[in-house]
Amino acid sequence: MATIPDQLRSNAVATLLDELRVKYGKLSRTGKLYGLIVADQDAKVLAANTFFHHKLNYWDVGAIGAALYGVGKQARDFFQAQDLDRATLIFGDFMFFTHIIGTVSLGENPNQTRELILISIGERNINLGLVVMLMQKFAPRILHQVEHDEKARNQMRMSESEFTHHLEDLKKQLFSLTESSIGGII
Amino acid sequence: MSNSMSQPPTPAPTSEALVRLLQIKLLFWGPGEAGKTTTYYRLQEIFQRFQVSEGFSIATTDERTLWNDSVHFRFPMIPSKLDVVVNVATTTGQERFLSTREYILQNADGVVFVGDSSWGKIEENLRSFEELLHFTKRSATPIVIQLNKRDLPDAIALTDFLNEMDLPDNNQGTAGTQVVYETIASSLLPKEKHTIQRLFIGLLETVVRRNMVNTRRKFQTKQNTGGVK
Repeated sequence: MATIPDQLRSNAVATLLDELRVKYGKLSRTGKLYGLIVADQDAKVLAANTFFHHKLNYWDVGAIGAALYGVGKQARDFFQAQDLDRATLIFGDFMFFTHIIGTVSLGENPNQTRELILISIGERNINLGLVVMLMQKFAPRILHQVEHDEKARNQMRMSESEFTHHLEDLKKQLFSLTESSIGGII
Repeated sequence: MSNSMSQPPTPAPTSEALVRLLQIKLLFWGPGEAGKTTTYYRLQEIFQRFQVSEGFSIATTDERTLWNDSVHFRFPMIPSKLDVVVNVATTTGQERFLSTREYILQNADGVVFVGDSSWGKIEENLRSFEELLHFTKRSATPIVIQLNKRDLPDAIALTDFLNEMDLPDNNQGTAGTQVVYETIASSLLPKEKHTIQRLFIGLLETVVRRNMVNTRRKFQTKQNTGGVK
């Protein structure tokens, strides 16, 4: 059963994420990449790779990634440091990266911008250098793709309540069986 | 150099000084857009001179809390010669980040449940309150309720709110303390600020008292078993 709506795993950005994963697989012999997600700084998930690990909740991964970005930004203010590049969490069996891709403008108003983040999660023994290099390499392509994707930009423009309705629609795509011949659960 | 040598050395902090510092975590919990973060900012204004950390807010561009807000205050309690460091934190109310709230709640000594006065939000209030009760059942954490946005045109009457939430009709807890405080956190009126201050201090007193009783009990148990000389 699909755990991620088609809208998120079959768009052009998701295709890039699939390409990144395949490249990693070809170049590295160690460690598995469990999932890749592109989200904005408000944790609005825009794309996920096709083979996102079925036991991981893509929504929680997006929220943790955005929170990590928020903590990083806060720390930057405290330390008066330069812009945040990447934040990493290392667990006994997992590694989690939040990589800052760049800023997307959402309208004519120069203040209406969102930062995009690329989140990757994998086994503890993944090739760290390779993952970082690939994330850096794919970042401009993902940014370019999102900048030209009106659907993604609309999603980022949504208010919190509009986004809640949007999520409900996405959930219906996954769980509704109303149109099937065997009846429905909704 | 000679000057510094001639001065008496600064005494190292004694164990007594350390014992007299009490650290407490108070948490704001409630449905989305009920006013948790607004109250958090209002508290920073009210207790500005007691603030000891800069505080942080991890929020979305719409100012909705994504992870939490947190700030520290230090209150000297003269009669008991006790310094109380209070970490005030808020949880996110947005449904899509719900899974994070349980972690923020961990180790909270007291909780303020912020309810929304709008009739349309009563279901959300109930659901969020029941969730909180479920998480705090084992620890019996003290809870006070802040019924916010009393200036709304469709604000629920206090008696109806008490009924809907299954709270005591007389708005008094078992120890005779006030259960529900009616507030307008967005207002800058001194009266409104005073209610928030009263609510906060009321909960803080309950938590400090509870902590001191527990500490004394533990100390006595240790003494009785010969652990302390």
